[in-house]
Amino acid sequence: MVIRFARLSMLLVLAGALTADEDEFYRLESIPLPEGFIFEVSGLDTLADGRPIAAIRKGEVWVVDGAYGDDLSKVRYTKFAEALHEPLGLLRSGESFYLAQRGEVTRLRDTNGDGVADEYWNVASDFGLTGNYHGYAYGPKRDRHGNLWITLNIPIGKKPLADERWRGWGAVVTPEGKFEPMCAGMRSPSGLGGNLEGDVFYTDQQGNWIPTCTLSHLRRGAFYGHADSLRSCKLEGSPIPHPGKLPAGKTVVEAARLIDAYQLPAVWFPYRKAGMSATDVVCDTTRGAFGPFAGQLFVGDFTTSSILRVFLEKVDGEYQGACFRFREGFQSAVFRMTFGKDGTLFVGETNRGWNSLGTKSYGFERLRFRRKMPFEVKEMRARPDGFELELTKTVDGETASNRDSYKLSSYTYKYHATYGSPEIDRKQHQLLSVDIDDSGKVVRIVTEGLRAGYVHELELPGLRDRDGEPLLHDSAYYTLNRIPDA
Amino acid sequence: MLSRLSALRSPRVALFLLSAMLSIEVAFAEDRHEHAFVAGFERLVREAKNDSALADAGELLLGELGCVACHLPNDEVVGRVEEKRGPRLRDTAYRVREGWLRRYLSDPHAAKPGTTMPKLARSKEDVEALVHFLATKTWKDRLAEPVGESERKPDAARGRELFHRVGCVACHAPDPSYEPVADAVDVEREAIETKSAPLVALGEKYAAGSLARFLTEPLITRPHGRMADFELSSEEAADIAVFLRGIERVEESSLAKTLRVYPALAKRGAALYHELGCSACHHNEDAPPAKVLARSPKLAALGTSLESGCLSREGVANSPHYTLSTKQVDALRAAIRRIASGQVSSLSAAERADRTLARFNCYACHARGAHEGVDPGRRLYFRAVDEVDMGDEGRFPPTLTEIGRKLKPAWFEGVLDGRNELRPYLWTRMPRFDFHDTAKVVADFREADRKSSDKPYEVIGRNRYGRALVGMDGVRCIQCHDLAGRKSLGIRALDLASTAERLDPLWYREFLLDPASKRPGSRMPAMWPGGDSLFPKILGGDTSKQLDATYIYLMESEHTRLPVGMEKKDEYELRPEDRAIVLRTFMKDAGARAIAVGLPGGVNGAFDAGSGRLALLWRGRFLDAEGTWDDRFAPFEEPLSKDVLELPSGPAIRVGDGSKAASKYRGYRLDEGGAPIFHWETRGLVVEERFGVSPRGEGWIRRRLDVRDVRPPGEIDASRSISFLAARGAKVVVVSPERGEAEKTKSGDLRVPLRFEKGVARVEVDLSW
Repeated sequence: MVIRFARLSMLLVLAGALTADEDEFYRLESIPLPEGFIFEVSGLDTLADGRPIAAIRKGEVWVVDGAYGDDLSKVRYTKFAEALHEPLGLLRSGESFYLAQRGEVTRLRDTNGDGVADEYWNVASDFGLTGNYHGYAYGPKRDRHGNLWITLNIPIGKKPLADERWRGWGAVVTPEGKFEPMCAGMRSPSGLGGNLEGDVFYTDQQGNWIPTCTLSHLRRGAFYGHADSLRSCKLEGSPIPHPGKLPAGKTVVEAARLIDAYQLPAVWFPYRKAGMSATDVVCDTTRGAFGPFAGQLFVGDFTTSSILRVFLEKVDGEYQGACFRFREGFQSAVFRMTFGKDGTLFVGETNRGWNSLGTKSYGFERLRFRRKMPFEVKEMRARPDGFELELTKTVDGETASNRDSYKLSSYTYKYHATYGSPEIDRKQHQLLSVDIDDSGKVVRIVTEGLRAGYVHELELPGLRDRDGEPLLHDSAYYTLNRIPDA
Repeated sequence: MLSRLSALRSPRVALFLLSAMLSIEVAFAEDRHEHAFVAGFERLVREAKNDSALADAGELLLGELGCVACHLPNDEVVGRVEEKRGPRLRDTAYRVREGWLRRYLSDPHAAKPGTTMPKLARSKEDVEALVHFLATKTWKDRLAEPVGESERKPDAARGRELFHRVGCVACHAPDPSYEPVADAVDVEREAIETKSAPLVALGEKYAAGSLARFLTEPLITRPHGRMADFELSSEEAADIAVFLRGIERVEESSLAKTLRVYPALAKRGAALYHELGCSACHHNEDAPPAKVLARSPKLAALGTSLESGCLSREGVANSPHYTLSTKQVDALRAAIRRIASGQVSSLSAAERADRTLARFNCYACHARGAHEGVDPGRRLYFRAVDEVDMGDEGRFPPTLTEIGRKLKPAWFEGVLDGRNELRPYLWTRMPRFDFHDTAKVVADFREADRKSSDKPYEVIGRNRYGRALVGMDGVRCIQCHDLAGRKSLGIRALDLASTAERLDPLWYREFLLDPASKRPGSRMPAMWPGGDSLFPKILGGDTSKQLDATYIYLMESEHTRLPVGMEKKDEYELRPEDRAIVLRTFMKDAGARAIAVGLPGGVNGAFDAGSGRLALLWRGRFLDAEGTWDDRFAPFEEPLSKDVLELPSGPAIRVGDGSKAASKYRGYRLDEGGAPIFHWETRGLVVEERFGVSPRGEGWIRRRLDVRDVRPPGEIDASRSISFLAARGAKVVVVSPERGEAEKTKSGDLRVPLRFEKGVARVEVDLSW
């Protein structure tokens, strides 16, 4: 029996062993919940004093005391608000809280100071709601101009009511309180988050028109691919002219050429290699308290109960970059994340409706940097003729200068109404040269035939640091929308 | 044309039928065949890389075109060439129409481009004699009864839907004007790569009711099963038939009805039927024609006549005349050459399996190995019932890769024989083909797909550990999968109750360890990541034992306790006792933005935040929250009591007659008892609204609205009074303003005029019904 297994799961064993290795650097702890307390975390932020505050899918908001403590048995939960319709976000703004529930963006306030919300204000609700279970609303997150961004899931399946206005769109509530639809083409846009510059991104999940999960920069006038949302282009207030007939049977790169508004994502997450259903986006604002990735983005994953890491750079003024696996082994679907005051990453989980890896269907965990440096590709930057890798530790000169330590291939996806896409038009790239800079932490690889628009997958199983250790995660996936000129 | 249409019920239907007719002609025009159509041949020849593969494709044709009906194969070839016979003709007189039969027999390919029937009649006289002979084919059984016409008038629109949904268009040409999704987004269509099975002038061919009759049980007329049995109900068949024929013809028009048979001619036809060799293929009832067989060389002896007879370019008198492509002729020659040279062996199981797939065109719906399955241009017709969110697994029939390792033989046979329908979410149906020897087909696939390392595997496990794993305390299969007819907690993936009956345990174990390896693109997570168990306390964390335990549990699931999570759920009824309870939810008659409020004392209401009004009041029990809190599909809730008052639509505060008035919900604040005070606006009036138990006594509900007039003075039209629309069909007692009275409007609503002082008015009423 054992023998039969071994053959089959050789590859998988690697993945399994990883969790233990990851734990050397990032410590994952489950925060206890009271018995029978269904805590499906769907929104997460912190109070001014750093205490986490969580929205749950049942429609309540809870403040968590003791979540930083060594003795997690002392954690206490206090209800702040209730009677919300499946809120899928939570954002503190001074003393107020904003959240998107099914039918509106709501502002919560405690006006009499008793610690419980007593005002539930409708901030925006000028969008359709069909009563379809998939008609979720996510957010908000604030951009640098003070706009509150939300995203609206398309309905999938039966629609009891016909109102599909702005479904599949991202929209803002301006600081003046005006609701403005901004961008279309979303399928299941369950996560939003800003970077240090205050630009806001959203993730989408593989399905029809979305060939694999994505991270995209939210912008007025952009179309991210999902066709159902285009119905709303004909509504007053649409910043996107209807693109007409959509092409079929093309790659996403060709489709982006043919459809004016189509904006390719800053990052594609190759299916199963880098998660299966991307969720929340959180920026590392901890200035090192959470490890070497300050300023980078972390992206949750539902099905694989894991967190991915994203490095972004701007080429010709547009975001693009690479994703890496970061931490696996959460007890349930990673759905919401927020950084606490000391660099603790709080992680809220729920997998109701689907399934996810792990032992639970919901929960609350925290992830902390153990202050031990992992050997990782910190940054992967595009160059005109290859890539520049910045590592967290000094590399071993011999393995790093060996061209066989680098395997580069590229591929793209099909733009179509079929569920997901295989990786297509695959190519292996010859490595022409490898250079290591004086710091020993930056490796420059030169290759032939980079392909604009394609995902470039770099595998580095042979690379070692000076202690002979391999990379904690030896694959990187760079979405090369643009090849830089210099 | 007009007289036909005038019989129809409505102009819309008539218009539709007209367009349906036109579009079908378009479809046929696009798909006109230049030569005999054999679906499997097209695929084999496209993939043929060498002479041997071409000869293989030729062997398929030797069977599909009926060559071996006259040119008998020797023993070595028998297993390589499966003869396809022609349709049964015993009821032809009732099935087809006279004019069409005459045209068809005169020149089969001209009448039905793509047909595999060769031209045999040599003259008009031959045709006439055969027509008279076939008019004597009046065998009748229950099938001779017209189908579907007695119960319900056949509906072409429904037929069109069915035709494009149940799987017909996997092989036949779709109607290019048909939109699989109503209100679909305009997308370029991918070209259809595979040729479509011919479907020509069915209105001309079939007598009234006979197409529907054929569609209900096609295998009775065509026992070779290339046109499969989709188990259509008689109504469905009638609908599809009327769509395909493009006309609603009610008069009896069969050959039997329109032709007076001349016995002498019929007798002459009967002789020709054997002489020309018709009965070589259509010999389901009659003996094969001895003379034709005697004069036709044996298959193995044809090596010297590759340019003559049936294969000659011009066609030769007394030979059947097929309409073949160059490629088809090349393939036939290659096959005959190989057979004549004696260099054929019996087929391996894998080769037999491949040929079965080609003959029955299984690839039209299924992928297997390197074969991609559904034609890209036909994929849009493969849909999930209600568009359920199951990705492609909810749209496409399963892959046949490793099917012989995956399915247990008894289950596999059942699938092929049309039992074991398993995937209710697919629009396409798995039809029945009649493989004659199903067990042999299954054995071929098992042998073809077996791996040399496979050994029989005995599953040993304990039901109760399996139960723990399958349920919410374990790997939670039921989160996505139904079990024994019970709804899953999430998406409605395949019911697992038949797992052990269906699946070979070895395959099952491999699948659970790495689902994507068996079903590329599957969304199913690998719940034993890296082969490791996440549940060390169950069976010591032994992955192998855990996998077996789940198999055992699923085997017994119908006779044992449901897994945790599927057993009866907690009590979800909301009972307001000392404080108000608020629930935002989808609610019938209060919309998708309903805010339901239950108050102590059995007074409840639902505010529709979408339209900014209190929509319902009811007395008694409040609501059940299970749908809102725990059901993925979030149904529209209804009050737990029948004692409901529906309030008038539109804003409760009206300026003038209030026509075209709208209101906008602004939010709510909670009072000390936790009940919301709703804020909304209409036409410059800001309203705070609440309701509660009335001191008037049992059964009375008090509504109170405080209205502020914030309109700029210039916009106030004093002639348009402001009033409160309190209810309809209820007793209304005005509490404030003092001495206020409710008056009845023309539409029967009870209206209370408002009195403003310094721009503020309060109206308060008690309601009962």
